[in-house]
Amino acid sequence: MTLVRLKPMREFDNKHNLIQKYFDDLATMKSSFNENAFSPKINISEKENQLIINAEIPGVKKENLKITLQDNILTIEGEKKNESEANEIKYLLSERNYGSFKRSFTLQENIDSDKVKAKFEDGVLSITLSKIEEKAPVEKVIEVK
Amino acid sequence: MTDEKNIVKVVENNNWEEALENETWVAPKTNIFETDDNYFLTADMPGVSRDNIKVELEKGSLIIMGKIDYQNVSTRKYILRENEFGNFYRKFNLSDSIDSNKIDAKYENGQLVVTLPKHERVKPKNIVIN
Repeated sequence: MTLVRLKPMREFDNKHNLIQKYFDDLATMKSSFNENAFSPKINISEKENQLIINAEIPGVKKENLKITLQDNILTIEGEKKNESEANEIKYLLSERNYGSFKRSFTLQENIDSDKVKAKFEDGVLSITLSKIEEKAPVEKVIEVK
Repeated sequence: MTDEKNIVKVVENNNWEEALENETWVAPKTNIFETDDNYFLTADMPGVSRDNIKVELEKGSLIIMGKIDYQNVSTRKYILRENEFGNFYRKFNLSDSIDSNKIDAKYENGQLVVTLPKHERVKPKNIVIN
């Protein structure tokens, strides 16, 4: 049997954390509750010295996309418009979602923010980020005088 | 009435058969809606280039297919992967009310739009009372 120092409030701390966690989860889950909201599916892959972000944004025009990089935070935002806003549409099947979206990523320090390339083709936004090549530390001999 | 025809011109040497056997296929998310004259079918096929789209009519069914760059996508070293990748395939049964000779399709920004015109006989008509 192990002996643990008595902390009367410990039990309460645990409960508090549990409750806090529940609320944190709720905040992140919020977007998935709204079934009609569109959020692009994103893949990130690594290739040699590059990091490639692919976002599936079908049916959106290039002009309606905005990509910003500020303080190492990369943000993709845009709006997917409904098929026809003017007419009232009678849907027989509706699986695709609409609406504005915004997704942000925090980049690692070693990303070269001057070398960010983006292209949009066939409904896929592809952002290529280059890593800064780390210089090999130069060995320095310190003379003992 | 032609029963089988390719609406969007397909580049032939695309090895569809091989892809159907060896690669993963997923159903594209689709909306279908109607206006007075047409039904419209819109499907999301991100990552498919125009040459790799196939829209076919076969025995009263509409088949939409799209091939992605499977080799490239499946061999990436992923850090985050949110989508279920695969080529796109979906089959719809068409009702008699569609004039299959006039079906039209276009593809833009990863979105396929198929226009399915209604037969004259099912279009709403205004009857004038004399």
